[in-house]
Amino acid sequence: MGRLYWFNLKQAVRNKNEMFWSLLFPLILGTLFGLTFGKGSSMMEKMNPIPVAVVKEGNAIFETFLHALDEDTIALTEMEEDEAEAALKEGTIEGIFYSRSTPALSVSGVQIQESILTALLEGYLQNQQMMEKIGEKNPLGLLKASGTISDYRDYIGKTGAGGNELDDTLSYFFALISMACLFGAFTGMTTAVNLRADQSALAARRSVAPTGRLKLVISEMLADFTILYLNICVLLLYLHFVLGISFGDKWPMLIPVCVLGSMTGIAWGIFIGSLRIGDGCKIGLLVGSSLVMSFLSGLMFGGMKYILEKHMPILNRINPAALIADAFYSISVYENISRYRMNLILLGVITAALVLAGFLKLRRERYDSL
Amino acid sequence: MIHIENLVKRYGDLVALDHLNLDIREGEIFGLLGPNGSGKTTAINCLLALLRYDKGEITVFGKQMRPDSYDLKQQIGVVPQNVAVFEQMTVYENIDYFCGLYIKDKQRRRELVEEAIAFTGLEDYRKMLPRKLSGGLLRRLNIACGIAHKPRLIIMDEPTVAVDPQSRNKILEGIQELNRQGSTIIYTSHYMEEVEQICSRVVIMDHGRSIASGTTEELKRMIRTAETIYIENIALDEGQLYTIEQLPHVFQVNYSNEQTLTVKCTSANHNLIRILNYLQEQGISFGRVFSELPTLNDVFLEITGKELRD
Repeated sequence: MGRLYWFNLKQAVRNKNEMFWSLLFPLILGTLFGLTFGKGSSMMEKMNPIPVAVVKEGNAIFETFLHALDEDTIALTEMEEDEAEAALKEGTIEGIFYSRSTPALSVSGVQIQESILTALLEGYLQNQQMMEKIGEKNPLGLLKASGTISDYRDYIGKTGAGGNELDDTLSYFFALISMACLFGAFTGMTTAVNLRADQSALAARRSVAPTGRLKLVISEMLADFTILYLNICVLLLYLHFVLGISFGDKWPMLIPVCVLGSMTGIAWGIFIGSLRIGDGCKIGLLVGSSLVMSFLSGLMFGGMKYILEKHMPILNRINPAALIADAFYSISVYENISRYRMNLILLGVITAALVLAGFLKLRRERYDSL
Repeated sequence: MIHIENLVKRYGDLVALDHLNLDIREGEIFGLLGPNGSGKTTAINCLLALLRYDKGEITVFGKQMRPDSYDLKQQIGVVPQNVAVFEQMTVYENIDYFCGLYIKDKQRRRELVEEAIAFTGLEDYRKMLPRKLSGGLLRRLNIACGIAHKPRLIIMDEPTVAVDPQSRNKILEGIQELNRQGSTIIYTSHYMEEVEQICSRVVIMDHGRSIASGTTEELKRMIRTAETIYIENIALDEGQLYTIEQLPHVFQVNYSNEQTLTVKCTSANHNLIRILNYLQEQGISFGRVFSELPTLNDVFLEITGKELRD
C-alpha cells in the first residue's frame, strides 16, 4: 500500500496539467485579486454603520429596537416615506424600515449591507411576540432585549464579537480557496479514469494484476488528497504571508475546512471521472461545474452568495464551493461556531455521498463492454 | 492450461463470440489469428475476467477465472493492444510499478526489473519518459511491463501494431525467447506472417467463431491450394488460357489485367515445370516467374471467401 501511495504521489506531482489547475491557477488568480483589491487595505477596513431610514407608522416597540441599534450597527434617520424612497434611490441610505404592526424593509440592492438589514428585520420578526410582551410589561427592558436578539450583529463582523473585522473583498478570496478545492477534481477524474477498465487501457492492465481493488482505490485517493491538501495549504500561506489576507486568530479551524474541501474536490472528480461519457465531455463538465459552483459562491461577484441566500438558500447549502467559502467566512467573522459547524457537517455529508457514489462505480471489476 | 468452452458474448444484437471453444496447452505459443473485429480481443478480455460474458466456461490452470482470482492472476502477464503505461513516470518506474503489483519482495523486484529492461533492450532509456520514446521503444516498454514478473502465461494482444520492421523482428525474437524460458504465450494478431513465424498452434477466428485450428502446416493441408504460380508480362488468348486450366492439378486460373497469370495448383510434384513446358511448346514469351506455398491468408480465403485483411 505504501509503495502504491508513494508511486501515485509522484505521478500526481509530475502531472503538470493537474498541478497547474490545483496549484498554479489559484495562486495566479489570488495574485490578481490581491492586485485588484490592494494589499491589506480595503480588506481590513472597519465597517461603518449602515445608513438607513425609518418611516414611522405606529410600531413603537420596533422603533425602540431600531434605536437600540443606532450608531452601532445602523445609522438611523427618521424620514417621511417619499423622502426615504428618494434617498434610497439616490443611494444615500441602504434601506427603509417601515415601522408598521408587521415591520417591513425596502432595500435597493443585494450587497452585504442589505443582507444585514434583512437579517436584522428577520431577527426582530422571529422574536416579535417576545418583544411586544416585554414592551407591555417592562418598556425599559426593551433595550436589553433588543441587544439580545441582535446578537447576530457579529454577522457584520464588528470588532468585539469575534475580535474580527468585516471585509467585503474577503469573500472573493474565500471563494478562490473553494475553487482551488474543487479544482482537485481534475486529479480525482484522472484517478477514476485510471481505475476503470472500461475507460482506459491503463486501468484494464491494472485490473488484471493480483492487487486488490480496494487497495488501488484507497492508495490513489490518499495520494490525491495529500497533493490537493498541500496545494491548498500553499495557497493559504501565500494568501496570508504574501497577499496579507488575515484569517483571524482562529486559524487552526481552517484545517478541517481544507481537509473536507480537498476531499470534496477529489470526490467530485472521481464521481465525474467514473461516468461513462467521453473524455472531452468529462473535462467540460468538470471545468463547467467547478466554475458555476465557484461563481455561485461569489468568485466572480462577491454578492452572489447573498442573492442566493435571499432567493434560493438551498443552493448555498448544497453547493460545496459556497459551503467551503462560508466556513472560511464564519471563521474570520463569527465568534459563534454554529454556522461553521453546520457548513462542515453539510460538506461532510456531500463528500461522503460523492465518495460513496464514486467508490461504488470504481469497485466494479467486470464490465459489459470495454 | 486454458480451456474455453462454448463462450458466448453479445453486445446487444451483435454476437462478438459465438460458442467459441479453445484449448491451450502449456509451453506453446498459441496464435489467435483473425481480421479486426473477429473477436480475438473480446476472447482475451473474457479470459482475463474483465468482460462479463453471456454463456460458457473458462478455466485457467484448471480453475475458474474470476475477477478476484488473484492466485491465477499472479501467474499471468498481459501485454495489451494499446500501450498502457504512466505518462509521467520513467521507463524504469513504469516497469517497477507493474512488476510491484505482482512481486512484493523489493530485492527480487529490482532484479526482475533489470532483467526485463535488458530483455527488451531498454537499458539506455530507463530514465526517459514514455513520450520521449519512439513507437517501437514504447511497444517494448509495454511488453516489459507485462513480462517483468516472469509469468507462467503471457497474453499478448497485437503487440506489434504500428511498429517498424526492425522493432517488430526484435519483439518476435523476444517472444520466442520468453517461450524458450518456459512461458506459455497466447498471441493475437491479424498479421499472418507473424503468426506463421512464431506460433506453434493457431486458431483462425472470424465473426467470433473458431473456423480452423491446428499447426500452420495442418491448416495449410486443410485447403486445396498447395502452390500458387505467378507468371508476369505474359500475353495469352482464350484458348491458351483454357488449355492451362485443363493442365493436371490446376484448379484455378486468374489472368489479371491481361499481364499476370496466377495459377493455383493442388498438391503435386512438377506443377511449375508442366506449365513452363506448355508455354515453351506454344512459343509464348513471358517475364518473371515465381511460385508461392500457401499462406494462412490462403487458408482464410478458402474458408471464408475473403482476404484476412478485409
